[in-house]
Amino acid sequence: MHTSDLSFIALIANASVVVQLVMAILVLASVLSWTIIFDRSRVLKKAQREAEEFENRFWSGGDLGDLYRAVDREREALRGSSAIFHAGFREFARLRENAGADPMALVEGARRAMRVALSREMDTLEHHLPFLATVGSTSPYIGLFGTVWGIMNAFQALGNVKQATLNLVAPGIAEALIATAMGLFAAIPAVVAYNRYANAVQRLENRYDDFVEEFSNILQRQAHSRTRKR
Amino acid sequence: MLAVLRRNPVALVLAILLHVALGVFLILEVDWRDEVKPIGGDVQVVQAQLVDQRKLEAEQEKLKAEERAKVEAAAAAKRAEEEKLEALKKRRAEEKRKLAELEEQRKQREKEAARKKAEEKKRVEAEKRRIAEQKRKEEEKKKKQAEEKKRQAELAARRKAEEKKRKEAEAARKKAEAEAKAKAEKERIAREKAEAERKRKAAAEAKAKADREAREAELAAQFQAEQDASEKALVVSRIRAKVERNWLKPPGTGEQGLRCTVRVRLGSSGSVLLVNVVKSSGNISFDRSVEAAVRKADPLPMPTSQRLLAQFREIEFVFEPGN
Repeated sequence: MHTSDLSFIALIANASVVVQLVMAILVLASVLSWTIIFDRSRVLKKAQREAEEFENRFWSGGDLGDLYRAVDREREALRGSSAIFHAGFREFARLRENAGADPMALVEGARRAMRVALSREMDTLEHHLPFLATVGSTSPYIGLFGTVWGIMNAFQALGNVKQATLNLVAPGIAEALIATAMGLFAAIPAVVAYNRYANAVQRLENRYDDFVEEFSNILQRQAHSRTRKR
Repeated sequence: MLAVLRRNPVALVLAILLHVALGVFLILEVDWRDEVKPIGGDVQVVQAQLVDQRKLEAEQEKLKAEERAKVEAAAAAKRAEEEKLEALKKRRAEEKRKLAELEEQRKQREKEAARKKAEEKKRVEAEKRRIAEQKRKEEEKKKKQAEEKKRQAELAARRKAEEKKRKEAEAARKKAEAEAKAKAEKERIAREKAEAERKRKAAAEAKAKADREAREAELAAQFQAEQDASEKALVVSRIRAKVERNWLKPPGTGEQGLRCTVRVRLGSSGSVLLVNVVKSSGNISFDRSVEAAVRKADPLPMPTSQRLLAQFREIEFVFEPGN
């Protein structure tokens, strides 16, 4: 009977070095995954809000040139739909300056530029989501490893004693099981958040895609009308 | 990762706060787990003490039980005495009760016998009544039979009388019928005679009538014939006159007194269908002129009577002018 104190602090303090290390890793993973959860929550909400605002502006019926000039002023801080619009319109304007450009080529160029902008936006949105997935899938195993190690130690200690009692093994198993608990504690929120945010990112991507297609249609109409005028 | 921390330190702070809060919560909540162990220790101690006390109590119980047994034995002896007395009393009461019962039974039997006697009496009376009833019934039956015989005798007499009456009636009827038949026969003969007479008379009358009618018919025929003949003569003379009127004397015939017979066939209205000279006058022109005259005279006058009309379909007449 080493001790009858089975409080958390005591259990953790009395644990072996390997188990303590495992616990430290899990705590760190949990802290980081929660950091990312908060961060992504904010970023995705903001992206959704901005996409909505910009689309309202875009479909309000104003002149596209004016809209482009307005967007161009805040070029450095562009996000989402507005960044895609900026890239597409700039490419379109540049190609148009070269006299005699084929309207199909104009639209294709603008569309390519928009695709690039879209993929860049997706990259920023998806950033760090894989980390959540990793934490969700590995931290139960890490916790399990700590538990197994702790139980191993406990039984080794049991082997050295002549009269085996429950009191001899109980603290070891308890401290070992804490590691599994911590692993699960880190994993569950990470998995839930990952599924949620992956879905949100997917919906945003669909939205941007639709916007790209619609804007391409508008550009194509403009390009054709212009060539007919000439 | 560091970029995130730089860009969004609030998130990191939030995460750390969350974990610290959780840690504090766990540490504070430790108390409930501590309570579990002392309960196990207490239970063991209580069990040990319980075993000792039971043994002592068992000893005391045993002593007490012995004392109680003695007292109970004395009480039991007394109770046995009382029970014996009680049993005696009970037996006496029982005998008394049996006696009473016997008495009761005797009374019952007597009553039973009386009842049986009464029943027997009743039964005999009933039998007597039954016999009387039977006798009465037999007498009635005899009476009825006698009545029946009488009735049948009467019936036979009546039937005989009826038979006799019927036979007499039959005989009378037959006689009457025979008489009626004879009478009818006589009548029939008389009737036949009368009939023959009547027939004879009628035949005679008929014959007379026929004769008369024949005579009349003859007369009428005669009269008719006469009438016809006169009419015929008249018509013929008229025809002759008409022909003569239409006759043109051929030249050269002179006053020789020529005559010829002509046959004329006529239509029903008197139209001339055919004319030929049957007996020539010897002078051809005269014959022709007569023929022409007849044709010219078309239509010839006809008799009014239908009877004569048939005779005038074909006529022969002698034409002789000048007279």
